[in-house]
Amino acid sequence: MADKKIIDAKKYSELSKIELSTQEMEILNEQFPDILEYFDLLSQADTSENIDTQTLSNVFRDDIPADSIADKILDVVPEKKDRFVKGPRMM
Amino acid sequence: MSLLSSKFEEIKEKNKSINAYITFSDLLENNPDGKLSGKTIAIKDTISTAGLRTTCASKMLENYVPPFDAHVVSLVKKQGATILGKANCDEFAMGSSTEHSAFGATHNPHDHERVPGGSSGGSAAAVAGNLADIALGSDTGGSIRCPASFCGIVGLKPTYGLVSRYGLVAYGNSLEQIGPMAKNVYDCALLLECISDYDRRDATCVNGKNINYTESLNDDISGLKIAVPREFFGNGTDPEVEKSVKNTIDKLVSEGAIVEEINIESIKYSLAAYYIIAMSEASSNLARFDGLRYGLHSGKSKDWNELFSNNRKSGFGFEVKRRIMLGTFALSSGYFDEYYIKAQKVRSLITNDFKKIFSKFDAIIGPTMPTLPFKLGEKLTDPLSMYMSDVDTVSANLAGIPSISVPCGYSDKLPIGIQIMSSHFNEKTILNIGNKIEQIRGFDIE
Repeated sequence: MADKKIIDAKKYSELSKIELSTQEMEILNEQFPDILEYFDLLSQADTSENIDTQTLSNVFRDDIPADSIADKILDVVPEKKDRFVKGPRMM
Repeated sequence: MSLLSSKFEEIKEKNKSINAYITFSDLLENNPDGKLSGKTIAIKDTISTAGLRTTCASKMLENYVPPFDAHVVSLVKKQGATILGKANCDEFAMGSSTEHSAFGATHNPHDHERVPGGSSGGSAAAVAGNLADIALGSDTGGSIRCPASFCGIVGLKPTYGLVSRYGLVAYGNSLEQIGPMAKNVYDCALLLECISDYDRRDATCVNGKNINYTESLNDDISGLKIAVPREFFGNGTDPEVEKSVKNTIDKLVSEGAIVEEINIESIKYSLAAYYIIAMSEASSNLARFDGLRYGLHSGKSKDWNELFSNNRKSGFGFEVKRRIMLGTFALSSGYFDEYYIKAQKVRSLITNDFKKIFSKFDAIIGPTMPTLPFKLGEKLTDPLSMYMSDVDTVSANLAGIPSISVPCGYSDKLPIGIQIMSSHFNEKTILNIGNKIEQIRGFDIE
């Protein structure tokens, strides 16, 4: 049997921007190999034929002004200044 | 209205033992007369309701009040339904048991120690437990049909593009649809009729495909060609489920349906393909929850990286974190082709197989769920075992075809659902077969 794949939970928690506790990382490191082993079933599917997965086309609407809900949107913003959403420092 | 108000107090009291609702409406609105007048409705808490808290069963949105109604919500209001409240679900619709909710699990009205199914478990339990006449759920991989089956009610996942997703908080946006849940096929058809109005604000909504589903409802199934895939009766299928579904199929044959067993080779890959695509889309769709414009904001921090990571650590439950990370992995450099692209190609294979089948058959039938409703807590420590519950439902989402679950029997008082699928925009056929099953199955739903 092939070696089970390991996902480094720490690496993907950084990429997903979700901080995890040590315990959570341990549990995920334990569970991921089995889940990935199941996903690897797909490697048996014959997709050698040229399968077109790009079947979408863009849909546009007319550029017609409508009522704005900007005030209501601003109401739920946790931290703001005037009509700006306050964000964290970038660096 | 006073009769409804006193019933509302009874419902709130009864909810304490079932936990079908997260939030009750403050005010029971007197909506104009329409097709849904006199009907009470529960709305899954991933569907936006203006002025009424919408949490997606998550701490992330615990205090979020949407500034707008989902398209389907404005439609049900227009048709006179009374919204009683927001139904519990798995967090961000990720789950098959409504146990992954930050507001506690919902209990199956048929047996309070068992799950109602998920992720629209609150919606199903509300209808089954007489806490609402009808309900709206959403279905990404079976989330309407699974709880409908487990709670002994009717639930329909429409064709992708029939019902507007505007206002549905996205989980797997190429897979999901909002759909009706009710005690009988007629009410399901009625609610579908009301919510399938075209909406240009959803770019994936298709114009001109909805019909009058109640007018077209009949019970004439003689001559209909029905395929029964052997793959839907796989190893994990409970013998009681298999017996009940096959008995029902035999009854359909006596009523004139032509039934044939077939094989669909690609179905065995559907669960893996579904989870890779759904988790990938989830990782993207839930990136918006950073606490800046709405949602949980855990306070000051060093920089954006720390703030976002911290907000999301506190706001998301463990199942959501697991799925976002797996989705991030499947989309990441080095794995993208092997997982995400491969899953999309397999999805095309499955869709083409369904198209070939529907060129010869009118419908496909099988069980909705491989098992009876399981006990609360039974599958929580083994995520893969929970994911396997969706084995019979996910293929309809991958292909975008309509599918309905209708109660067909019981085992030790636990409900069993039969699943009927058809070609794109052919809700009429699955409703009619469901209608016939209601007549011949030999029991009524109280």
